Amino acid sequence: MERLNYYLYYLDSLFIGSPVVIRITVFFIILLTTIYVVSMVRILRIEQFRIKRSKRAQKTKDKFTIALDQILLSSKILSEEELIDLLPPDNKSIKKWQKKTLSKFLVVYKQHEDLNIENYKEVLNYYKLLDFWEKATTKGNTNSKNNAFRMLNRLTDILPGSVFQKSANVSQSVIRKHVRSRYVKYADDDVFKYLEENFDKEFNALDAARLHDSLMTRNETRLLPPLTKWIHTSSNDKFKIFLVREIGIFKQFSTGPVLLDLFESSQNDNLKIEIAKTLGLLKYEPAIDKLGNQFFYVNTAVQEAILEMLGNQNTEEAFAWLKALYPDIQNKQTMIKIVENMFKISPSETADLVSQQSATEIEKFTLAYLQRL
Amino acid sequence: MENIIYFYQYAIYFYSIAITVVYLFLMVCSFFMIERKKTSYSRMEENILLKHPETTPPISIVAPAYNEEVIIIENVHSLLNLEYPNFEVIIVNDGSKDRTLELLIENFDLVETPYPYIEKVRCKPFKRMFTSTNPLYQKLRVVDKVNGGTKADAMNAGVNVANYEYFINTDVDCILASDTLTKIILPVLDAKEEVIAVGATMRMSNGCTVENGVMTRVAPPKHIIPTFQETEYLRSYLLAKMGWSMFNLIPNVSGGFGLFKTNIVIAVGGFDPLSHAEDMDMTTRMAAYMMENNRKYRIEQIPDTCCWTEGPPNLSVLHRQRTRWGRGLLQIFVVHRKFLFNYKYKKLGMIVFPYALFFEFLAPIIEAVGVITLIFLLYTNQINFGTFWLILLYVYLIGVTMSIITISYDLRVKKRYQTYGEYFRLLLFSSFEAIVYHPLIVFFSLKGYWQFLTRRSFSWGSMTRQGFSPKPANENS
Repeated sequence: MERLNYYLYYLDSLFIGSPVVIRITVFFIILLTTIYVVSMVRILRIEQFRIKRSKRAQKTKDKFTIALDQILLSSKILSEEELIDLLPPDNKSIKKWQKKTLSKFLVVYKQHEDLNIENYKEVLNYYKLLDFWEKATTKGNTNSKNNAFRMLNRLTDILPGSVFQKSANVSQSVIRKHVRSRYVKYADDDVFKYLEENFDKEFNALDAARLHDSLMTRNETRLLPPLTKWIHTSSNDKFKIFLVREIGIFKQFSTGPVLLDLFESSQNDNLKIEIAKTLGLLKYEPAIDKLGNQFFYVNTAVQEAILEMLGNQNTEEAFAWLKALYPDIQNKQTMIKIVENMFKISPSETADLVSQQSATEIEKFTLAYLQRL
Repeated sequence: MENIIYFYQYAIYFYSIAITVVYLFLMVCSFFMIERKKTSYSRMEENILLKHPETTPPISIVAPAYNEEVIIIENVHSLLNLEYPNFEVIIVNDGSKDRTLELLIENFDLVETPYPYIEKVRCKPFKRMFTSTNPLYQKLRVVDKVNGGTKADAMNAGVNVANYEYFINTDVDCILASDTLTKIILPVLDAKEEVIAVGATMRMSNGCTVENGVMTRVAPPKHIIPTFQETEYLRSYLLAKMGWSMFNLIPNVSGGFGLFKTNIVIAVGGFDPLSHAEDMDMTTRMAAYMMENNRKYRIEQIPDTCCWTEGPPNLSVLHRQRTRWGRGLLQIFVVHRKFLFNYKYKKLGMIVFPYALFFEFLAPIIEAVGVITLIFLLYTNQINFGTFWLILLYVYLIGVTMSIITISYDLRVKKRYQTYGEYFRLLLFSSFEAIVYHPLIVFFSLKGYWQFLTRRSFSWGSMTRQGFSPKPANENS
């Protein structure tokens, strides 16, 4: 530090008496040169790190591949002693970088269709890889913690929910939301606790995608409870919209009446749109009359969702509604939607209707397009 | 006279200081934004989108084509093979005089299909719609229309038939990375506010190897002009736009590649066929629309390279491109002058436009006047050579430092070239950019301004296509 100060004072002394402009220029030249040198060093370091990582990966691959092939692709469930015999010797306490590289190899093996899951779990336990990554979720910067959670998710489908508990309330939203969505997938106890809390104050579509992934996994083992429970307790419209959409995907038929009531009481058009679409997917017939009657009291986007609902109902009653609405539509885009949905239910009747009415070019072309498809 | 020159020297000096400060600031901001994007998004999030098509937002890809018989088939194959569950590809044949449409029909089993066309945004008349009888190409639709003379007009026709909430605006000379759609939609999903546009990094395809529409080897261009342009593009995307995105101040989502929200594009009347910079014009109008309607919005930028475009291979094509950009930039300030320093348009009026005016538009003018002043001072023996070389070194260092920072950021995002020698090639070229390439850009920009001011009529111009894949040696024997 003293040496640096010395050189700085020396530099300053060279330009004593020089105009301010010169001194500023010298300052910027030094700054830019420093940045140039640092960037060059950074480029070289990045390459050095890549080469190191690549060599380590190759080393780990050479050491473990044969053993892992024998263990993980074996049809026989191996005991711990047999496992130890096959694995490279003196390797229980492997280094951190080996654990990281080995984890990446295991993730690849996990996709293999001939994977022996029990042996796979044994390997994870033997090298304590899950413990290693669990510790990594509490150390380092946001990026490293997030990557640790990702690795845990990739390595195993079974984790105690408590692994995520510490990070479920942190201030970094990137980690917090990721962890909460994974909690739904993995937790044993109070699985849906975050669904009861609006999931997160910053809930967005990416959280919805992750949460959907977790709910799909959970639904494979045991059917989900009706998601309408959390619609009522939620104050976040985006979260409600997500839940309504999930109801349609998971075909929760019993929720029809609740959704219908929600459509009538809600002031949010986006929520109404999602409810209408979902009622169509659920083929909830009481929605036909109720929503049909509301058609001329909602905006265009909601109208088009109602038309889609009618089309998905695929009943004579729904067709009758579409036929009744058809003459009163001025908007071309809505007209196309009506013809599309009528065609979904009954192509022949739709063709007759369009040819009998003094249909515009739009309707004729729509019909021809649908017939062509 | 002496006072004027004295004042001008100081003005130009502090102008360069201001540019340096702005770029250093952007350098810091872009560093943090790149780190933020790398933390937030990974292959895992992309895999979730691929695994669950029921929740993945569908995207339309709109690519206009005019006389593109050389590359159209490869490009369409490239687009159809993108890794994404829900998307459609709309090729707009803008009255091509060559075999563009015939080749599409032959190669993709297209048949004319009646279509309920609604002109939501103005463009030259729609003629026909083609869809494929082959299930492999079900995502493809080809719109045939009367030539509109500009890309903007063709884009509008594509927007009129786009089915989905978001569309990609791209060119047929662009090759998209296979994971483009999963990468570009993530910031849309992860936003608190409505995202109206997303940009990504574009590179030159000139030195790359493309086989059947798939990028198999990424390399810097072999020729001089596109090599300079590669670094220039990377600086613009990775340094400038990534930095601006921290404050939602991106001035322009590139017309070569960008994701736009369909209903907002329609609400602002579509792309302007009279504009020579239809991308910046569109970005500006979309932002203004959102502000006029008191709607919060974001324009995002991702650091990943999603698109490779064929860059001007020689001086003549570069000249055409840069004079058009010059005309377009001046046109923006004339057409949208009401935004300039207008506090009602908040960041757009008080930061984006002033920045573009002072540091983009005026830069070539100031540089040209500076060179003329320098020649005058040399002629009249008024140069202090000590100061002269010092300041020249400083100005030179601005350029090369920004270039090396950009390359380090590019490596941080992903190593695209196979060897480090290729990166150092870019660095080497950036050392000569200030002497060889930049003066040409200044000259062409000024020429573009002059052309706009003198209101000469000009067409979009044709791009001399080289094609992507190397032809086999015996093809023409």
